[in-house]
Order: sequence, then C-alpha cells, then structure tokens
Amino acid sequence: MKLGCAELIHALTQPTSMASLSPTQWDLLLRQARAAGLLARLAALAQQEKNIDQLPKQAWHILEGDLTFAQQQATAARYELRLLDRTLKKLDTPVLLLKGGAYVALNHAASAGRFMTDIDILITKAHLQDAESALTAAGWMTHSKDAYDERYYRAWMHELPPMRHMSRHTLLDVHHNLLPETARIRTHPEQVLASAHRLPGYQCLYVPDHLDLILHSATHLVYEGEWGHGLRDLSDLYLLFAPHVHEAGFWQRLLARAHELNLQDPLHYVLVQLQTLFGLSVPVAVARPSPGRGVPYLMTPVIRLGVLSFHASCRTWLTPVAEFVLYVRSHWLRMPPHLLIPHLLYKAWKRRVSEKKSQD
Amino acid sequence: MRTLHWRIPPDASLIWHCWPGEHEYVLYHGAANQTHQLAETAGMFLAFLASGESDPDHFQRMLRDEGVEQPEEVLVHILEALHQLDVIEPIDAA
Amino acid sequence: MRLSDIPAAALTERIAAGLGLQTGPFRFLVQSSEAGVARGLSQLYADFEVGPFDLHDFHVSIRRPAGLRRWIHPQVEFAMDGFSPFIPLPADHAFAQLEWGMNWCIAAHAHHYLMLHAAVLEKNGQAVILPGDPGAGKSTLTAALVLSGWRLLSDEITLIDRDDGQIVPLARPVSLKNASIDIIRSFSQAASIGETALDTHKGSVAHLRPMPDSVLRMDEKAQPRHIVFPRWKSQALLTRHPQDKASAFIHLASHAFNYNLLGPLAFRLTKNTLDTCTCQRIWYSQLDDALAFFSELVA
Repeated sequence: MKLGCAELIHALTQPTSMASLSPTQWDLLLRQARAAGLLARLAALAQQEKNIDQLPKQAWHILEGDLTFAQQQATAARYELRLLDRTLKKLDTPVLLLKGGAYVALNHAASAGRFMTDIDILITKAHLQDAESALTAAGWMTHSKDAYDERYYRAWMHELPPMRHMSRHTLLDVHHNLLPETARIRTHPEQVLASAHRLPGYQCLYVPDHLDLILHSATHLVYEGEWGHGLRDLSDLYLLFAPHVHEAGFWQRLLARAHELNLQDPLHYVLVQLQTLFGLSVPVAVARPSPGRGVPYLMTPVIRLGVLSFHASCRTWLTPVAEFVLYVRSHWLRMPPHLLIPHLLYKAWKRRVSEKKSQD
Repeated sequence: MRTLHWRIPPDASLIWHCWPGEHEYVLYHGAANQTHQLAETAGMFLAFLASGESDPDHFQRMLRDEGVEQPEEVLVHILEALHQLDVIEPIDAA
Repeated sequence: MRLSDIPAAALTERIAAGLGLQTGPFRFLVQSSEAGVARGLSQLYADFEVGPFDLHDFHVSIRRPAGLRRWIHPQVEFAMDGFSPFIPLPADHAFAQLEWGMNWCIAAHAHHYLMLHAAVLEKNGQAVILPGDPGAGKSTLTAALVLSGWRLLSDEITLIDRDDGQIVPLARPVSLKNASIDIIRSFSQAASIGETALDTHKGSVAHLRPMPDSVLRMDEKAQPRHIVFPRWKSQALLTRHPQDKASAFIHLASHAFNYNLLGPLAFRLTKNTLDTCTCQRIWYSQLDDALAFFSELVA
C-alpha cells in the first residue's frame, strides 16, 4: 500500500530531500504537515540544513510563519518554567518536567518546531495537596469543564484536573504517576524520579533521564485516545532516538529500563512504527515482542492507521474503525470496567448534545 | 535598614521606546512576551537600571532634581508596578 | 489569465472542480458548486488572475454538509482542507461565507506578515492605515476612497511584510454592511456591488468590486506613511486630534491578528511602522469632508 505521506515522512527523516520537491508535491506536503502539526518542525529541520534558498519562497513563507509561532510558544514555556520554579521551590521536593516541557528545558532537538500547548509536571502523590495550594496561591485554577469532569479526574483517575493560569491562560497538568492510578499497567514514578537530573539554574525542576524520556513519550503515544498528533509524536520520538541509535549498549539499557518500568509493550509498538514508517534502524532482537507477553499483533496495523489518520490523503475506509478502537482502548487502559461504559456513554451523549446545539 | 537595590533580570530581554515629543514608553518584555505602556518616569527608571545603576534613592534624588513632585510616592509606584510586571527584581533575589 | 477571460459556463465547471485564484501574495484553490459563489466570483473577482497553479497557500471549499439540511433550509459550510472553523450558514450566504472564510485563512495562518486589523489604501506613494474600531465607519470610508481614486490594499487585514516592513496588498472586495451598502451605491455610478446577504450575524452584507487598477497592481508593496483613527460622529464637522504614538502602538498591538505570535519581531515591526507614520484621529460625519482630508494628507 503506497504511503500517502511518504514525502512528508521522508522530509522528517531526511530534511535535505525537501530541496528536490516539485511545487505540486509541496502543495500536498504543506497541507499534510499543517494537519499533522508539523509545519514548524519541517521549518526547523530546513533551517538546520541551511537549504532554505532551495525551497520555493511561497513554501518557505508558510513554514517560517508557523516556526515563528512555535518558537514564541517555546519562549512562553521557558518563562512558565521560571515561574513554576519560583512557586514550587518551597515544597522542597523534585518537580519533574515531562515531554514538551522537558524538551524545551533541555533545548533538545525534539523541541525544535514543536508546538507547546500545555506543561506537564510530575510530583509525588504525598506533595500533591501542597502543590495544588501553592499553585492556586500563584494564580492557577483547576479547569474542569463541569462537575462530571471534576469527578472524573479527582475521584476516578486520582489526578488533579488540568489547571489554567488566571491571567496568562497557560495550561498545566500536574501528575503523580506516568499513567493514571486506575490504569491496567502499574507504573512506578519513584524510579523515574530517582534517575532524574536537576536542571542547572533552577531550584526544584528536574528532567527525566534520556531513556525515561523515550519510554514516557512512547507510553503517552500508545495510550493516546485522539490520534490527530500521532505522526508528530512519532517524529518527536524519532528525534529522541536519533542521537543514541549507534551508541554502544544503548538498546540493551533501553530494554532493561523498559522492563524495570513495566513499559515493554508501549516500547515495542513504538519501535515497530518507527521502523516501518520512519526507517529507524532497530536491532532485530529489540523489535520482536518479549516472550510470554501475549502482545496482540493486530495493534500494530491499528496504531499505524491511527498515526496516518491526520489527513484525508492518508486515510482509508478502515481509519474510522481504527480510531474507534484506539479511543475505546485508551479509556479501557485508563479506567476500571465499572466506570468505563458509563463514561463512554456520557461522553457520546455530550458530543451529540453539543452537535445538535450548533445545528440549531 | 539597607535600601533594597534593583536590577533588570538578566534573561528579561527588554526593549523599550519613547517617541520624540511624547511622554510615555512602550515596553516589550521578551521573556514573558508581553507588551506594556509605561509612564515616563517608569521608562526613565528602566534606563537608569540599564546603565548600571541600582540604587533607588539615587533615582529619587534625580526625580527631585528634575522637579518631579512627590518623588517618594512616584518611586514607590514605579517599583511596585515594574516588580509586578516582573521586569525588575531586587538584587538579593536568589 | 484573468477570471473574466473564462466564459460563464466554463467558469461554473472550473469552480466546481477547483479554481486557482491569486489574491495578493496568496493563491487560493476555491472549490464550490454553489451558484451564489460562481456569481460572486464572476462579478467581484473579474480582474483577478486565475490558475491553474501548482502550489496553493489555501485549499478552500463551500459545500452543503451531508444530511437532511441539504434540501430543506439548505446550508453551506466553509472548509479549509477539510477543516471547518465555522458553523454552517444558510446557502443564500454562500459568497459571504467564502469571503469570511478567506479572511480567516489569512488571519489565522499567514504569519510571514504582521497582520493588523485595519484598512489600508495608497495614493501618491503613501499608504494610509485605518484601524478598524466599531463606530469608525471604516468600511464606508474605505469604499468611498476606493471609488475616489485611491488604490485599495486591503479593507480588513493590513499585511506588513516581516522582511522589509512594507505593506503587501490583497486588493480583495470591500465588505459593506447594512446602511453603508446603499450609501456607497448612491455615492458613485462606478460602484459595482454584489448580491446582498440578508440576516447574517452582521446584518446585511454585500461586497464592492475593487477597481481594476488596484487588482492589477496587487504585486506592488507600499510604504506606510500615515495612521488615521476615524470616528463617525453625527453632524460633526471634520476635526483633527492628535494621537500619541505610544497609545496608538498599544491599540494596534492589541487589535492585531497575530501580534502575540510573532514575539519581538512584532514589537519591532509595529515600532518601525509608527516611526515612519504620522498619527492622528479625526471626527467626521460627511464623507466628502473625510475624502478631502485624506487627499490633503497625501498631497
């Protein structure tokens, strides 16, 4: 099956290839990249290759526009990190930055051209109350859509609802675990905290070890319910892997760490996608599922359909089926059964109500 | 009691401008990506700090010499407003 | 090739298949089977260059959403590459919906430019920016200026090129609302106004065809020289009032479409624009007084 976005993925892995695209190819590529949230990433990659002069001016204007936007968001995120450091240092406990926040703080390649919509931090459960108080005093408010949402987060997921700053309107997610407590896979945040590195220049902000950054990103992708950004998340992962693929002992360390954190399944799924879609060179031993885990092999094509669901040119008739499966699965993985069905029914009902409202 | 000294935070990335014949400044706070309109005296205080000065008492004397009325009050307002905007910080800030 | 070069029947077919349209620096691919869209484009975009083009900035469509509403109280929906930012509207408003949609495409995405919410026109090599406050009568003023020999750069979105601070024209039809539709119709015989969409969320809406000269010169950038904040005041004689640049700066920044997105670049572009412009407010009630004022401004 020909990949509808072959040029896009090729541009992500071999940015110099953008110089040889025809205007017609650019017409499709730019639309796909916009839908995937990857325009800024392509722009950053083109800038790194220093071959902007070889791109059509019209294309570069579109790319550069989004890159400026993403860079501004990164600046805003760095400022938020400064303020969070000030607000939370009194708790005297490590505050772990996850995903985008960590990439920006580290100035990692994965932050290049990446849009940051919210900041994710992880604190031990014991400090969650105090963290909420300190954040509230600094102008953050929990931001549930309604009472149902509030209960979903606090009582069922044992999470704080997302927080929004009163005047700056930035979004903050405070976690105490990598996955909700109710999830079917038990994860151990204290192990991630134990290997974390303190950020120089900050009092209480930490970033995960590079192996944990990869594993957390993989877990987040595989547990995702909405797949509009699946390709972008894979692109982030590709950039997380890139500096290490030829490092001696890297794959063994990664596998071992995945076992320690009980995240072998997400790692496997992600490696298969990176290998087949991005051509990442993965040692065969790693790509095979671990023995005795009973990994359902259907998930690989389903996830692939999810990753490629972002634009009409890459969707097939199977895509909506895959989207439904992934949506239900993401909730199934997060929620115990007695909560799952009522929750899905409620969400479906709410969507219909709001659709009807907009039609009238 | 020692007066608090002030500075512009090293990563603030401030740009400010006042047009000839006018009395208000526009200020861009790069770190926070915010833009503000400032009274003339507040703009002058930023220029004062940017030149390497840090003692607000010295600035207050300058205000008095310029004929500004109630310079102590003016200074208090300037310090409060600029600190609130996070474009100045006390020098002992860790 | 200009849109007017395409025979009517062929035009309808081409729009149904997707017509390339050049407006200022942007190439749209416009697809629709709605007769109202074909009529609107045919009248108001007659002088615009059409494709086929290889590379477009925006793929847009006006279509009827699936479902029963297709035939009973039919609605149309604007989409950019399959994404619909607005709720569907009555099919009678198809062309207005297209215009709003095209504005949205530019304002939400064209970050190569600093985009101010303002009209901008040029005469004698000097561009005059008219920020768009409610009560300004901006669209009536803009239309009157267009019909009085001023080159139209834009009626709604002022594009400032990030590379050189110059104003980049769009030269698209001028949007008119409610009373201003008849005012402009009576203002000049040369006014070519499209169909009126009644009962939209903005009231009655119609569009004035830009003069051919503005369209033909859409590649020509202009130097910003004046910023004028107009205020329509019943029975007022025209009076000029000073406007300090610091306050004007804050006004432009807070009403711009993408000031916050561009970071320090936005600050520099706005400051440079104010550096090169005179800045004032006017109160007026008579269009002729205002036109005389603007003529004098660039004499």
